Amino acid sequence: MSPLTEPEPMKHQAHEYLDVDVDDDVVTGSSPAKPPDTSPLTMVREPDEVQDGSTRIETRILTQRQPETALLDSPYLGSAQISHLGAIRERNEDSCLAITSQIAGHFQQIPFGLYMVADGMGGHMNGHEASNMAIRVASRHILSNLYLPMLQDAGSPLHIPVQEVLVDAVEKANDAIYSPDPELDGGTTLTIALILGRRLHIAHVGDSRAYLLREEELEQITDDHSLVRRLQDVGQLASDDELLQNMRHVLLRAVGQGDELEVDTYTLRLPANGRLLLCSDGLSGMITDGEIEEILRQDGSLTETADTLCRAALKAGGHDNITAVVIDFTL
Amino acid sequence: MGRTTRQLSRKSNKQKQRSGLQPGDTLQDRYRIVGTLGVGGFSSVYQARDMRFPAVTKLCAVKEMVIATNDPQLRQLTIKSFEREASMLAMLNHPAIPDVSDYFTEGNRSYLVLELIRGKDLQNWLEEHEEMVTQQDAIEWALQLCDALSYLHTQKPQPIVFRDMKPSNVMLDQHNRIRLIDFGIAKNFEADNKGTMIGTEGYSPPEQYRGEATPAGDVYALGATLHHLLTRKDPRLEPPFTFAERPMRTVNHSVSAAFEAVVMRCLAYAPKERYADALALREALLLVADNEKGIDDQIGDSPARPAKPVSEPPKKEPVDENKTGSGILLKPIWSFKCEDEIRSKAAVSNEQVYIGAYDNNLYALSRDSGEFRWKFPTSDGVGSSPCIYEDHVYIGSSDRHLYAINARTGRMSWRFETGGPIYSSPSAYFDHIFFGSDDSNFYAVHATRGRLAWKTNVYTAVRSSPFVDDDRVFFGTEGGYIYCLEVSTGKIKWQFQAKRSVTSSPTVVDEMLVVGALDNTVYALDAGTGWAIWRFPTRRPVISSPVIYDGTIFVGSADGNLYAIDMDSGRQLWVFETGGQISSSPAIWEDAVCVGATDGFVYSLTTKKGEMRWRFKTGGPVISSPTIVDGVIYIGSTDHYIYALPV
Repeated sequence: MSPLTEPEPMKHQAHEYLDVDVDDDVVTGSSPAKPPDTSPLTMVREPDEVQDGSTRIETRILTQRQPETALLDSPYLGSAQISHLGAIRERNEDSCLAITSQIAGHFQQIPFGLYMVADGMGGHMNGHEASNMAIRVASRHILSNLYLPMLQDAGSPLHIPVQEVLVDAVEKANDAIYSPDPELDGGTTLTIALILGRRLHIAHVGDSRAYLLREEELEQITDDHSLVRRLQDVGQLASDDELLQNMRHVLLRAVGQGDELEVDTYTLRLPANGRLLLCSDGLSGMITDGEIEEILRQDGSLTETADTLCRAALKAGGHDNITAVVIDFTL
Repeated sequence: MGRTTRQLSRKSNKQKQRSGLQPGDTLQDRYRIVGTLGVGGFSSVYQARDMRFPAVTKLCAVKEMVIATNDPQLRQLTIKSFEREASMLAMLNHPAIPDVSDYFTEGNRSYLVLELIRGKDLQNWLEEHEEMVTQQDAIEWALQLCDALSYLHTQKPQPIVFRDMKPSNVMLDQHNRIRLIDFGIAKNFEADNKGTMIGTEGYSPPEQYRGEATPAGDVYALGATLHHLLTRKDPRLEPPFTFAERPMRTVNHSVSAAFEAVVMRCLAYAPKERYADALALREALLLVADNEKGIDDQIGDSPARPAKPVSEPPKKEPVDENKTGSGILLKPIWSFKCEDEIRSKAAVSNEQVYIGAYDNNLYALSRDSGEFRWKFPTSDGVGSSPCIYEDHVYIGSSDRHLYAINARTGRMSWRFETGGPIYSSPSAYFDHIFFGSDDSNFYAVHATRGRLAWKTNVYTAVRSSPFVDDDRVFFGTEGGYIYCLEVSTGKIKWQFQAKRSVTSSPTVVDEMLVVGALDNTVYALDAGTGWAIWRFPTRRPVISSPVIYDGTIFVGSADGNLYAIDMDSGRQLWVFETGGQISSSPAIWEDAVCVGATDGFVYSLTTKKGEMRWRFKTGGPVISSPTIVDGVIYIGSTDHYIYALPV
């Protein structure tokens, strides 16, 4: 990704990736990242889906997949993403990001993948502004503190721990969004996955999720910072409780909701191959983990996988915005 | 109401419905608004003058609740239930409960007219006072609150539930008496709101989120209120239902174990485990107050450690220290006395235990009985720990040599000379022995003949013991570096710089390397690249070597604590405080983690929570690290003894 060598174009590019209906007044035609018309998601852009003329309904899939002829022994990372309005909401307040790259090291190419999902909540600051800002601020921090230094000297160890860089990135996003004025109250979930070599690093706040598909099982890596989850933890709510629905949206932690924020971090070594999924609760709240696993295991391109996940959530009701980033890796 | 509970809607940006009653506005041609007492999202309280008494200024409080629903049927239901509750409250007669004199509905708002109570609510009281609330004051208030709640809970035909106990709803009047204000009646009006909400009510019991309101729920909220008052930690700013993680006694020394136990019972997750109602709680509080009258609260000065359950008896131990929790005397299976201090770790084979001592000797003892088998004299103290490989024992000595000694006979097969004392403990792998020396070199030596395979200059002394795997060898240096060398050539693959010496020995699990450093830090690095993943701060240098078990890292620090750290997140799971420094490296057996400390004890704790199972007193500081085989701990002490203890 050549623009990354200069901060400004990088910012610009990241913005283009992220501007899911950033500006309500402007209905833009196409952006460089817009998928071709042959995209399997033509269905969701049917005119009857457009409920509000002033809101740009946009679905976007980006794929960065190596050609099928890629040598098997070199590490491979690929991703596809989709962010969809859903069937009920008037506005997509989710944002996402996917950057897949390789860094030339002394001995080998080091896979570098940065992926994010943010699900914004509106106060008077609009939810999509909060989610969008979170991703822009956090990715800028990570790229300038991890990626750019690695381009300068790929062989030398990173001395600031990766987890600290990720936590700082989330805290920076928090500072950018948080306003002590309750009238400007906005918030967002933020789930960041960074693949660096064989290792996956996660920083997470809220109820968006990261799943890892291993050969044997689908593992939910992140814990939801939700009241429902907390009630289940203390044994005071059965998972099939009917009242669950009413409390589904009660978060205990979100980016932009206070001057201090506790960020969950996880680090794990990835299996030799598998898939990673980041998604907003518009996906994980609509279909079961079993259904997610089944779709992730289906043959097909990443684009198709992302498409199928989104369709399944729509079919189940599409009560919320649906965002999914699917990552395929062979390391 | 809801001052810190922010409510956000993910669905839309509905206009916030603000009432905006202004001074001068009159309701029902009778209540003229004078001022605002409190504003919330769904209800506000105003101070009003009752114009029915034009000759005098009779003030009252008017609570206004917004009917949030647009559904006419639901609206009717809301108003009905409001009127039912208002009538019920009007019938109450208790000095701590304000009189309700009137109610009415105008447009989409319902109003309740109450006695105006002057004074200060406990939330304000907390904000204005710096000092801790004492247990005595808290119990005095709690008894008054229980009195009022009992009155409600014993109403016929059904108990009345207050539903909104919290400091801001408890008033201290001019006579320092407790008065309840603001019944949770407003909750009916909020039921319609399903937008995304951040934060919780903090004082509410878990079942309230299911819509259950019972006297036991009021007991929980009263417990939460007391916890807030006594710790000054606002539960609305903490994750819900985490009171147990903030023991009152750690921050408020006036709190006794008995009182804490009462409050924690109020805060049980399951309603059945709490006091059934305020009456039962009142009796428990009276018992605490009576028992502690006159007793000058001896246990108040030793707050419970967070890692331990509150119910644990105070720390004062009986004279005999070597007792288990159940009072059984812990007896060593055997012990053996060397001629000087033991600071290293034992190596254990099928039959024998090997240990080096500062009396220059390497000892071989019978594993079952501790019976002396042989000793091998080096020319100086032995601080390095032995390693067993095939039929030999390998050990470094301060006399600068690495020795290969026949395990059966105790005779030397070869020795290898370095340029400095050897404190690094050897590791054996693939017919090679790996170790460092104070001469700044790291060595790989053939196990059978003692010939040098390679050595690598790392510029400062190596006292850390290496971790070796198929391709690489990892160790730290006194110069503060962590090295990764190619196992076959000794070529440097990567190096990582800590801020101070790395004497601790690294361990690698799942390609994550974990090691301590004298810069007070535990580091986690990617074993393949040396990139830092996280770092964990302690208060003093970390000489102890970490051990990893089931995703948890156990490591001691000179700050006296044994830490359990989550490997994935670098977060502390628990901490256990010993009475001395920990240089010893912990060892794991089943669900027990054992470690020695300079307070002379060997500790055995549970791996899950860090609760002490037992501790064993030796005659001197324990710097040696335990080795556990088949449920038996072998550990040396500076009292010259090596002990075999049952886990």
